[in-house]
Amino acid sequence: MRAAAVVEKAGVRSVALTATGFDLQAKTIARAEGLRSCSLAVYPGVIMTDGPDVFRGKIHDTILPAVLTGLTGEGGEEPAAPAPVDIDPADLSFAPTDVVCRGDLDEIQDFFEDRLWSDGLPIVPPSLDKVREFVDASGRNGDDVLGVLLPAHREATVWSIAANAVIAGCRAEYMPLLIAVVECLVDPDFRTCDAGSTPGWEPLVTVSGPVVERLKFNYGAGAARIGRRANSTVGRFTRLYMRNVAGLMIPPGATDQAAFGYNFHVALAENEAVLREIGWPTLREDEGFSASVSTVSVQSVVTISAAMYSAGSTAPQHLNTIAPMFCNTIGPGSCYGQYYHGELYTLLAMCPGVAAAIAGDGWSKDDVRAYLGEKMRINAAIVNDRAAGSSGAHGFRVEHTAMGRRVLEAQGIDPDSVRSEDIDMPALVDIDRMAITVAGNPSRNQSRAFVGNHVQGIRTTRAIKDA
Amino acid sequence: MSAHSDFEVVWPSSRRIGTDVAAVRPIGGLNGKRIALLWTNKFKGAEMFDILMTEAKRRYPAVEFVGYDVFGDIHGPDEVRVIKELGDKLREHRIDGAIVGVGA
Repeated sequence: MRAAAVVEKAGVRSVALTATGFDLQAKTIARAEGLRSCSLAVYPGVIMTDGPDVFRGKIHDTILPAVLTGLTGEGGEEPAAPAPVDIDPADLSFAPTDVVCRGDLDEIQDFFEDRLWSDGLPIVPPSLDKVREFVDASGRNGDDVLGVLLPAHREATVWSIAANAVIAGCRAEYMPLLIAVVECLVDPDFRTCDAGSTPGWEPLVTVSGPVVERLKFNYGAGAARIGRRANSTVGRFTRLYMRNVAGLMIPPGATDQAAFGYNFHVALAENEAVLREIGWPTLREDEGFSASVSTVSVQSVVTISAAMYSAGSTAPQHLNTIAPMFCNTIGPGSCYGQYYHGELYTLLAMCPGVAAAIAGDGWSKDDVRAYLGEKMRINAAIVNDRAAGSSGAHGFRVEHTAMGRRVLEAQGIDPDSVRSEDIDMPALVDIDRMAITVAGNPSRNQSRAFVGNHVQGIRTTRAIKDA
Repeated sequence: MSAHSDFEVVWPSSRRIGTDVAAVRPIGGLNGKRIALLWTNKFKGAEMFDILMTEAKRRYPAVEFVGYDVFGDIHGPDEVRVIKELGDKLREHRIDGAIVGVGA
């Protein structure tokens, strides 16, 4: 719909093709883009599950008349201003300090739920005094604007960060960290505009540096589980902020079209003591920051590996076990996204014992990346089948993408003269985009891989500026 | 907050930025008009466009279509550049209307 909005802003009449369920998303985005009306041709049902005859019939019977009417204005009525939901937060606007509701706890919960301002969990009421306390703790002005978040086109203000931090159950002392999280979200390259896409990716916050101990993050057993306030509420805040300010809402909202989605991720904190002990750099140092600062990184996660248990005292013993499971986690889906869009960000989190064994064998993080990059391969035909099956990607052949050609030509293979069935493509091409950290139960030998959604929600890191 | 635990709360969102865009009027009959096809390269858009072009030409023989290859993939690896250049390309190709898809 954003492309149609660009067309309309150029003064050209447009008709957008979409499908059942996505029409409400299109209308909501149109409104956020400032369009007073939009003309849609809505395919009834699921495009990718209709056979050829049914498909052609629906194009003739439904899409064609809607397109012709939308373009010409002949044979139909001018589309009315979109009204996607009965209560649309996009239509509401208040001054930051306006009291929008007075009531007891139940009344506040109901009020927020009715206006789609809740993630469904009980909220901490964002009272004026509490929000002011959080703003004060940030060392910033409440009306400071960090950027604008799409798809809703709303300002990311310090005040709104404070309000959502209160709602999510954060402590006021988290504010500098939360501001850094939102600085990641507002980076245009992070693309919150695409966070409502059907793969249903979730933002994962990773925390590195002295702030981990100071704010009492858990980085040990159950590091990715709720149960510690810092981890849980920072994760909850991030999803809540993407809902309330970026405007990504599941039904009865319309902008989040995740096929399934996932629970919000608790923030994952790094076990720095172990990293120092084994001589590996921290996440923030890998991202080019000084060891003396603390950072947050936010990245999309669309898939998490199974528990990858590995054993042995040498690096290959561990990595030969990890490689196929990590590769399966990337799978043909994320592999297709990587080759199509040219980027893929992953995170490999190892329990301390695994990292210590690998480092003890003399391997660096770069050695691990290079080894896994070489080991993880997916047959090109499987990737191509996935592309055709998921979205009917037109004429997609992984070996003919810019990235695929680069990979094959580096191996002396002519991309135009190979059969897909005969070649295995690297599952992870730019291995520098694989972050590696240490967290989790220090008494066990497990790793987890987190896989992003190609160019959507790329890993973005910001320093935490103390108040 | 009163003794019976009443709260006075603020909203969790913020001001929307942007200006409203006036609706572009329909362009009337398509004879003599140039229609752009803009595509995401997904969801059977090529088949859709084939049918739409055939049927539109049957009703409006003098309509012209400017194909999606001219504009580039609007949701692909070069999306940012493609969208940035879109307004100029529409003007360059003297486009009267556009069919944009497929959002699904």
